[in-house]
Amino acid sequence: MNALGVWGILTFTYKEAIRTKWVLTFGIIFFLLAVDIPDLYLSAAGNLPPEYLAGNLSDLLSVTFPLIPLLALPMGAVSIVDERESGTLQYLLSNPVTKGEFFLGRAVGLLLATTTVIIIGFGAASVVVFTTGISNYFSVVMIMAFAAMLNAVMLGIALIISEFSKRKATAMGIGIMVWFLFAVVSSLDQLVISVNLRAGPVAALTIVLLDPIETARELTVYGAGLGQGQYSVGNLVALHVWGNANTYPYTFLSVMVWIVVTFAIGFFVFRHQDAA
Amino acid sequence: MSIENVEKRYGKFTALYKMNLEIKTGEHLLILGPNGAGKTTLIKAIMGILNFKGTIKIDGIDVNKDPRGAKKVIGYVPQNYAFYESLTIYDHAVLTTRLKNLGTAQIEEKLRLVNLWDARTRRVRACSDGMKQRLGIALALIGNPKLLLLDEPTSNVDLRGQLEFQRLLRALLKQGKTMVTTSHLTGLGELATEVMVLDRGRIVVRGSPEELMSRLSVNDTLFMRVREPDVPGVTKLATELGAFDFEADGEWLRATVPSKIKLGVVKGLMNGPYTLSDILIERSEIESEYVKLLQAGSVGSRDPGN
Repeated sequence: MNALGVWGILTFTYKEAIRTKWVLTFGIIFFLLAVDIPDLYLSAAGNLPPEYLAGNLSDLLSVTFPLIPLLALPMGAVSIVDERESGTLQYLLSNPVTKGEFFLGRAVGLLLATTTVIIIGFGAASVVVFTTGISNYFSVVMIMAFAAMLNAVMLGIALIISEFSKRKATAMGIGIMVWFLFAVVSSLDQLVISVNLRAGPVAALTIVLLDPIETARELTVYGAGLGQGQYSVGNLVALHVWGNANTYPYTFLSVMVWIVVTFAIGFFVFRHQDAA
Repeated sequence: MSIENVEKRYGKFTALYKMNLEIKTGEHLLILGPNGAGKTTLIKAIMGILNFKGTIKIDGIDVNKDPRGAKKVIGYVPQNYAFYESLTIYDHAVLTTRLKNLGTAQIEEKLRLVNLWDARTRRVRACSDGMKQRLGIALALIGNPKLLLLDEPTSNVDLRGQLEFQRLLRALLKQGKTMVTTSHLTGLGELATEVMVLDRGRIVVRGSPEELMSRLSVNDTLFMRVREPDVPGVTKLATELGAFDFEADGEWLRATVPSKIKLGVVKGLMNGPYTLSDILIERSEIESEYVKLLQAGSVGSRDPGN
């Protein structure tokens, strides 16, 4: 393996991605959403409600999770097709790096860049929240971790879109459409209830697991300890099918499967298609 | 480099059809053909970034079986200078050394060779086309590859850039580099040791530039500066000598003359009764002649090797 070549592509991809205005904008948006300005005012006035953190975290979950795909989907969707269109992919691959090594460097570089944005956005906000006297820092860290996992799933999907697209504009359009589809479908409650009534809880759970945003949201509810007040119909179906002890690890596993499968498909497709 | 039965299809479209070719060390193969002839597809296949049927071996290494090994002996100068606009010249060189798994020691030597060392901190977006072309050559030369692939290297470059490029090419040929250059219309014919014309994925004709020129009935253009009253007489005399297709423009008379007899025509005109204050000959280039013939559909399968 040409480790230096992979490192070259990875560092170049990371630097280029982190410099884009899109990424900077998202860093600021995540920070503003996570810092929860109204609650900061209340905190400064000494009027923080007793359930402040739980409310803050559930707001964070419901507002930011549907937005997280918008970071990786457009960026990942154009990443390969743009290189193809401009001819730079041909230049990169004319050097002694394989298609698999290029994909590895590109995917990890983008993953690190987008994860950095999430960590900086949420992390900076959590530091601010922490200094206001809230001590439950663990929940914020867990939300960051699960947000990063959802981001990874979306990046995997975006890279597949990029590989199959012939034009950058088409790839960007498909990326936005996929976000819209998942963001709209992520409100699954009615559908899951209907499927549960007609075909049973296993079929209903399958529907839930096919939506990575909802699956990641459920994982965050369990993992960050947000409590039963945040349970969706999907959470309840999962608890019914898998039981109390298994739901958290199985949901975690489901998100991991999404990550592994999307990146594996992206890797396999890129290795076997004409690169330029 | 040897190419055996190489075939590439995109659906029903045949980009390369059962291509066979051998290039010896130190040769410079110029591949000509109109857009869509298969030139760039062939270059991509040689680099191993396309899936294709058949075998391509570079320095004995099979491109399909060991793409990394094959690419170690290849230097590629991309079409349209496909570089990253936001990176500097030096950044590109560093990226290339990493991709080639090398240290940065060669960077200064290669950038100096193409006169870019002093401009190394300049971003690509601020570089002229000529500079981008030279950057492409410098990057391709990092790692001292045995084979250089140049894809339409002069397509966007002005005359000065083309002359500079030809100077560099001559120097590299002197060093014994093997080169494959594609072009749809350039002035590189005289630098090639072999010329191959592609059309619709097939080799139409192949041979040395001299051999191919002699097989063509190529015409040159003759410009004669004559006094206006002498134009009819000069036209008549030149016609008798073999020139045709006359056009008068002020004091200049233009005529087409078969390349093989152009010197005889000039000699006959000089010995004639008319005063010619100047004569210019515009030579035809092998590549433009073949492309013209391809466009006219009059080049058949005249390739001795196919």
